[in-house]
Amino acid sequence: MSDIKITKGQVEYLASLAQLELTRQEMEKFASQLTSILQYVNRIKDVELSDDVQRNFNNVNTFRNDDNPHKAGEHRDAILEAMPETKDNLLVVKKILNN
Amino acid sequence: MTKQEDKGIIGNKTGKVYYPTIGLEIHAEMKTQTKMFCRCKNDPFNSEPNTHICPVCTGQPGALPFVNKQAVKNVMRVGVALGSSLADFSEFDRKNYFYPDIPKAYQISQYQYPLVSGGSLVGVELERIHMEEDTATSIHKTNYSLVDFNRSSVPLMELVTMPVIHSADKAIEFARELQLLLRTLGVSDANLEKGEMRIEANISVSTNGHFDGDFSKLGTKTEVKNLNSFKVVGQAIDFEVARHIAILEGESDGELIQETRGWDENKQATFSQRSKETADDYRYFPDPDIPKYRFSDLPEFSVDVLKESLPELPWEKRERYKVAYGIKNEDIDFYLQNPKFGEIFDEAVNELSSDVEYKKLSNYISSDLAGLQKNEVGDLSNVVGTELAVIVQMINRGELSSRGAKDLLLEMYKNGGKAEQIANEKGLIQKSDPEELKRVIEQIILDNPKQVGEYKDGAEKLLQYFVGQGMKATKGSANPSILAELFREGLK
Ligand SMILES: [Zn+2]
Repeated sequence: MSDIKITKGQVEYLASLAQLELTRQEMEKFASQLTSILQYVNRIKDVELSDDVQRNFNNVNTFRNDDNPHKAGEHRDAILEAMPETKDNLLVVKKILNN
Repeated sequence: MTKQEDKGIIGNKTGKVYYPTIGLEIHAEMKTQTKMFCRCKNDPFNSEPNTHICPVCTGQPGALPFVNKQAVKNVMRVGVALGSSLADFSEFDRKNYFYPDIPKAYQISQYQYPLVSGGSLVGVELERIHMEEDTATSIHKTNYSLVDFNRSSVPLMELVTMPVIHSADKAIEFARELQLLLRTLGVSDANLEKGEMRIEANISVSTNGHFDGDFSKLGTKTEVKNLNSFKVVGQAIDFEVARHIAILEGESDGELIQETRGWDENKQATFSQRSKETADDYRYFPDPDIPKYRFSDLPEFSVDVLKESLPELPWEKRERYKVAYGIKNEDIDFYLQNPKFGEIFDEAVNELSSDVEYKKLSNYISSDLAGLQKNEVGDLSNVVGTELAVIVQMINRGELSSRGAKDLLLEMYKNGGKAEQIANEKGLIQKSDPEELKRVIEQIILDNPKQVGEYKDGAEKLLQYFVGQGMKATKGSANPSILAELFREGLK
C-alpha cells in the first residue's frame, strides 16, 4: 500500500488554498516529503483489526452542559500577549479585502 | 417585464417565460449561556473586545472542543417543530479555509450528517439544518484590520431550504416565520440588524418551468449574501431576478455566472463579490477531536421528549386565536410579534365568555394598551390580565364609559392596581343612576342662571354647554345622551 503520491501540482493547489507562496524547490521538496508522510500513515491499513475493535468507540455521545461560563476576561491577557500585534485589545491583521 | 405571480415572468424581447427559483440559507446564532465548543460566555454584543475568549475559541494549539449539549438540543427542537427528521448518527466536520476571522484555519461545521433533515415551514420544504460555530468579527481600517474573538465559536445553526421559492414575498414570509419560531422556542433572538439571523438567497431563473427535483433544469445560480433586513431580502431577490432576465433577454450586457454577490444599499443593486483569493474547496473531513453521536442511545434527544419541550408554536397559536376567539388577523399577528401582549390577552380571555367580550378585550389590548406603551411612561407588567377582564365586564354592564375605561387603563398602566378600586377612587363609575344625575343637573342649573335664561329664550345650542358641564361634574362618567335628555327635561 505505498502507491500514494503527492504531485507538485497538488502542492501548488494546496498552497494557493492556504494562501502560501512557495518556491519551485519548496514545492518539489514538500511533494516528496508529503508523499512519504502519507505512505507512512497509510501503513495503518495493513494492520488486521477485528470488527469489534473497529467499532469500539468509547467516547460517543459526550457532551458538556451549558453552564459554568468562564469568568469574563479570565484568559484574555495571556491570549492577547501571545498575539503578534494588538491595538485596543484587538488583534491586528493585514487589511482584509472583499469583506 | 410582465409579472404573473407563479406563472413566471414574460421577457420583453423574446416573449419567453422565465421562472425564478429561490433557495434560502439562513444562519441563526443560538441563545445559550456558553459558546459552542468552550465555556466562554456567549455574549458577543455587550462586552469589551476579546473579553470572552479562551484557548479553544482562539484556536490555540492543542486546545480541544467540547460540544455544548443545549445548543445541539436547540437545533433538534427547531427540527421537531418543523416536522423534520432528526439524525440518529451525527458528527462534526472541519470546513477548511483561511481567513483572519477563523483562527483554527477551519470552521467546525457539519457536512454529511446534519442534525436535522427535511421538514417544512409555510409550505417551503427544507433540505437540512446543521450546527456549526460562528466566526470572529473584524473591523476594517484604512491599512489594516482588527479582529475581535468574542463571537468566535458562538453556536450557529444553518438552515437550508430546497429551491422551491418563486417570489421575494414568499422568501420574506418564510424568513419572518422562521424568526418568529426561533423566538417562540427561545433558541435565538434572531435580530437581523445585529446579525443574529443572517439570510442568503440563491437565485436563478429558467425557462424550464418550476423546480421539480431536477437541478439540471435550473438556470445559472447567484448567491446574494449579507441581507440585513427583510426589506433588503425582497429588494435583492427582485433585483437579481430582473438582472438575470435582462441578461438572458439580451437587454443587458452584464454576465451571468455562478458567483457570490452583495447588496449595495446606496445603489439599490447587487454587486459581484468574486475574489481570486477564495477558492471553493473546503476539504471537509470529520473532526477527529469531537466524538460521534448516536442519538438513539440518548432518551432526552428522542422526538417525543423534545416535542414535550416545545411551547405553543406560532401556527398553533394563530389557529387557537382564530377558532376559539375569532379575533382579527392583525390582532393575532400583533400577539405573535409581541408575546407580552399575547400573555395578557390569554390571561384575561379566560375570565370572559362571549365573542363580544373577546373582541372588545382584544381591541383594548392591541390599540389602547399598545398605544399606552408607545406614548406613556408606565409599565406593562402593571397591567394584570384578569383586571383587564374586569374592565371589559364593567364596560359591558354599562358601569364604565369608553372614556372612563381609557382613564382607568392609563392609571393601571402607570401605577397598577385593581380595576374596580381605581374606578371607585377616581369616580369613573358611570352615573347611570337617574336620581344621582338629577341632583347633579339641578346644581348646574342653579349655578348657571345666565345660560338658563338664554336657553329658555331660544338659544337651544346651549344644551351642549350644559351637557359639557354635566360631563365635567361627573368626571366624564356620565352618558352624554342621558345627560342631554335630563337637561332638556329639567330646563322646561
Ligand atoms: Zn472560548
